[in-house]
Amino acid sequence: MAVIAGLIAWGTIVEAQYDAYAAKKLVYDGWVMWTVMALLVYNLTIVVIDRWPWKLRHYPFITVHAGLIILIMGGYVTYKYGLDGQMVVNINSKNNMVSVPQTDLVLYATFDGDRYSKIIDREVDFFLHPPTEDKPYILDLGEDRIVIADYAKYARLQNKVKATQDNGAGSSIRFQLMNAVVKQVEQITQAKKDRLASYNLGPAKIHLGSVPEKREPQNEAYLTPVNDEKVQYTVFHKDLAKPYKTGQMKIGDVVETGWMGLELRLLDYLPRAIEDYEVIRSERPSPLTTAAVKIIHKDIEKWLALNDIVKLFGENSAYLLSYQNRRLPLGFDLHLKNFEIQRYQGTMRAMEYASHVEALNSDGLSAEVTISMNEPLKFMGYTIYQASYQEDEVTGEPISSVFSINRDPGRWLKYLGSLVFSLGTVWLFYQRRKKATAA
Amino acid sequence: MKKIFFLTLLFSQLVFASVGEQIRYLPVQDSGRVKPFDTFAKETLELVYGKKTYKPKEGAKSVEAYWVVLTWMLSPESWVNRPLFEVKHHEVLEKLKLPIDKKHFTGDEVFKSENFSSLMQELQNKRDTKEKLTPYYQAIQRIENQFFVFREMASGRLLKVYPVNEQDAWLSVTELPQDIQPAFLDVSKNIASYLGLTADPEATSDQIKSAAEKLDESVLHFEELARQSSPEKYKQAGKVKTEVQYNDIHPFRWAYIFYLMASLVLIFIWIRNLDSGMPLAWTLVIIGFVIQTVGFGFRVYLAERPPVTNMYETVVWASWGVILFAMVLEAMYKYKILLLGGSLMGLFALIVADTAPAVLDPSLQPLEAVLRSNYWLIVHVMTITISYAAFLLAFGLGDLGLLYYTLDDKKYADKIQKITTGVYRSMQIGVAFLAPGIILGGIWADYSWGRFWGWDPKETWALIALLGYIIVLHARLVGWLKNFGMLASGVITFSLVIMAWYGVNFVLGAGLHSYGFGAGGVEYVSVFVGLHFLFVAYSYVISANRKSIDKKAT
Repeated sequence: MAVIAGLIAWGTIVEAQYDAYAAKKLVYDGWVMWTVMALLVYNLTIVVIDRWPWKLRHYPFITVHAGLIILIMGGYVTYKYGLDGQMVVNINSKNNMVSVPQTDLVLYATFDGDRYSKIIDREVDFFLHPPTEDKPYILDLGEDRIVIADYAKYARLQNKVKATQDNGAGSSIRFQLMNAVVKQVEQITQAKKDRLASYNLGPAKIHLGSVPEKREPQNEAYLTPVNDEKVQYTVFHKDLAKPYKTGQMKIGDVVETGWMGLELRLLDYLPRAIEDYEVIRSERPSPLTTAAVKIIHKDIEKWLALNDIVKLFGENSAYLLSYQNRRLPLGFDLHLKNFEIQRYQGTMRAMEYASHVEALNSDGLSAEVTISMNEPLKFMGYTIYQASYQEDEVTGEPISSVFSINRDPGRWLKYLGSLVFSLGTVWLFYQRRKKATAA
Repeated sequence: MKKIFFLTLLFSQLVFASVGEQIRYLPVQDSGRVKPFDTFAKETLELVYGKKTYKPKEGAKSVEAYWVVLTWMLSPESWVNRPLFEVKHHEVLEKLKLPIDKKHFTGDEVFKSENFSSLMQELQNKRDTKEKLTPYYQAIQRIENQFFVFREMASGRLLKVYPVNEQDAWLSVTELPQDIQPAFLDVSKNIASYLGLTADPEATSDQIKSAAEKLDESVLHFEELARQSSPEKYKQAGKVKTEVQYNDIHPFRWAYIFYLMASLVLIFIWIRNLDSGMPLAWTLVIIGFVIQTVGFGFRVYLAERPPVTNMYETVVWASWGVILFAMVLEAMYKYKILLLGGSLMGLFALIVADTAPAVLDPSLQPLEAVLRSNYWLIVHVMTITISYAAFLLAFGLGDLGLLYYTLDDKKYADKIQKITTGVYRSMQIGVAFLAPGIILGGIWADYSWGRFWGWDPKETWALIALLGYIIVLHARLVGWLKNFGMLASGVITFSLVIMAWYGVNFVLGAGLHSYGFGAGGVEYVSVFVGLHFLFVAYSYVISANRKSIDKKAT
């Protein structure tokens, strides 16, 4: 018992230092823990058998210990066959895949540049068995080789814009908006050529791309790439139908916008650019960190964050490689119809939040309920619990709901175990009392 | 007789709100609820100054929080040269180049120090990475809060006194509509003239009284206007009177005064082996217990929830449980020492709760969303914390028993035997509450989250504590632990409870249960635990020595 106490205490310290996932991986689901548990079950069984032949006075004792054995069994069943995952559903949309902690490497390949087919899908546990320079993890594809040479448990991603030769790539600008009170530097990058990228300042907007034919009257400026050195600017005012001013500018040029006395200065311009990220390793996890692996393919080194995709070009083929949390089909759609949040008066602090959902499986079985804190939906063996929500960074309005999704086949064993254990305890106390009064 | 005394004590505070104090009852919207200005001012002063009343200088009379905070707004310039801002963290003080032997500093000393902005930048960098804040960063964060709170109060933006129908947030003094402003200006003027008169040695008591009455009238007039603006929202202020009364009465302080008296009586009769005197001790304990229960009544009524949602409340709740269990055991065994141990521990817990507001925050705070399911909160948290109460009793009795070991375990064999029985029974009670408490927690977790057990640190440490006590009970059952072992276990095993109760929130600061998450007091708690370990070792050595001497003698 002391060993268990010590072991799980260590688990809590791991959790405090890192996070619950690390504690689970390193301690609670580790082989040491299960060995100790197995020993405990062995011990409990022995002490029960040791009392054989059982007399009436032994029964409470046996009940208590049997209850514990059943409880531990329940725990094992949950560990082996249970599911514990998360699902994010945007307001007014559907989802049917639950994301679980296990991680997979998935590789798609195309030979005609058009149709991709999945050629590799395997589970990897880099947390416990991280690849290194010396012991890399290799995906052997015959003529190609993808090497995973490093793993960062806790990586902070820092966005970075790089120039590229790819003709399909969009442009990127870095600019400064300045008046007496505001001085802001921002960067916007087009995801693809001819796509609009925007920065929203609230009462004004800056766009990178062509001026659309239909637009609402508002304070905004469009910067349209012209050639490798110049962009065309078009400034609009919300009370003017025609452009307020237009012209061309290059790096270093300044344009007075006329709204709120703001000046727009072009600090940098990349005619063809891609957005990428750099990885900054961190000792400890924080809400900003994620896991990442370093990929080497044909002398190109690249970091790939968990749940992101990277495109690689081979001799005759192109690949899409993803390192991702496994996603399992639920067997039904969860449709988030509405999300409500109540806040404590005069603050942004959430008092209560609830999701109005509809769940519908293929047999037409349906449930339409409100899921709120401590009021989960139980549907087809799953418990769908309101875990959290995500909000829009600018407006603070909720945009999606986060559910935690569980299936626990060991549940009945745990309840049975608790019941047997509790009965045994009461019985034991009752027996002592009787003895005490008899004596 | 005593009852009458107690009732007059209670009602003398309840009935007479003195003149000039109407401002204390002014409803204010702050951190998600409506509270009386009295509470708002106490909490604000505590954040900035570290105490609920302000002492202008050594030996001077303390000034009530509501006057202090009001004058920040009415004449911030008069606070420029006063040491108002409490900074305690040594490293932070060193960085600000302030003397570490002082606790309070003027605004200029702290905020105009050349390193202030670099500290703020440090904090911002730390925030950008969203990592957990260490005590050092928490200390910097407090300075930031002090700065913010004082500035916002001085500008009138912090004091939200006027509800409007269109929005959730009440309007602050600076945002008041044009036609309402004169009413608040009137209040300010009356405060100024009242405070001026009280400070004037030549003012007659009649003058002061009439100024006080005018002040009260102007406050009431303003309240009436605020009520008319949004009668619906003003209903939220329905409990401000009761809250001010609760602030004034200090029920938990009165409770421990009675426990203290009871303890003194009990020590006397226990040491002198007296048979009389028990009725007096019982009466004192019961009065304390009733006052404490009334205090709970207030909190439950004000917060509309069971009183076990933060560290402060659980400590107070556990002290109540200690007294309860001690009374039950005392009634069964009539050892006297049981009631003594109980009242000492109840007293101890209440004093800790009362004197460490930085660690144990006594303010009424809105609940996290997940805790707003009162039914489960009552069942699960109350059973677990009440078990801690039983272990606390075992701990106190263990200490007392070990004291006898250091004195003379042969001479006091009878007393030690009684104490050991008390420790054993308390542990049984504790286990009988903790085990189902943990299982109920599992059922709650399963019902709510679809998982029975998640290795959350709080769950885990409660289990570790349970395992610890079960080991002790098993060991006693098979005879490994004699009396000394039981007493020592009572003391040592309690450190597991301290870890589960306090350590998880304040040392580890991880997991789902860390709602009352915070830092502070770690040094004190470690010293406390360490001293007790030393005490156990010391009493062991003493009694072992004595035994070997006895052996040589025979």
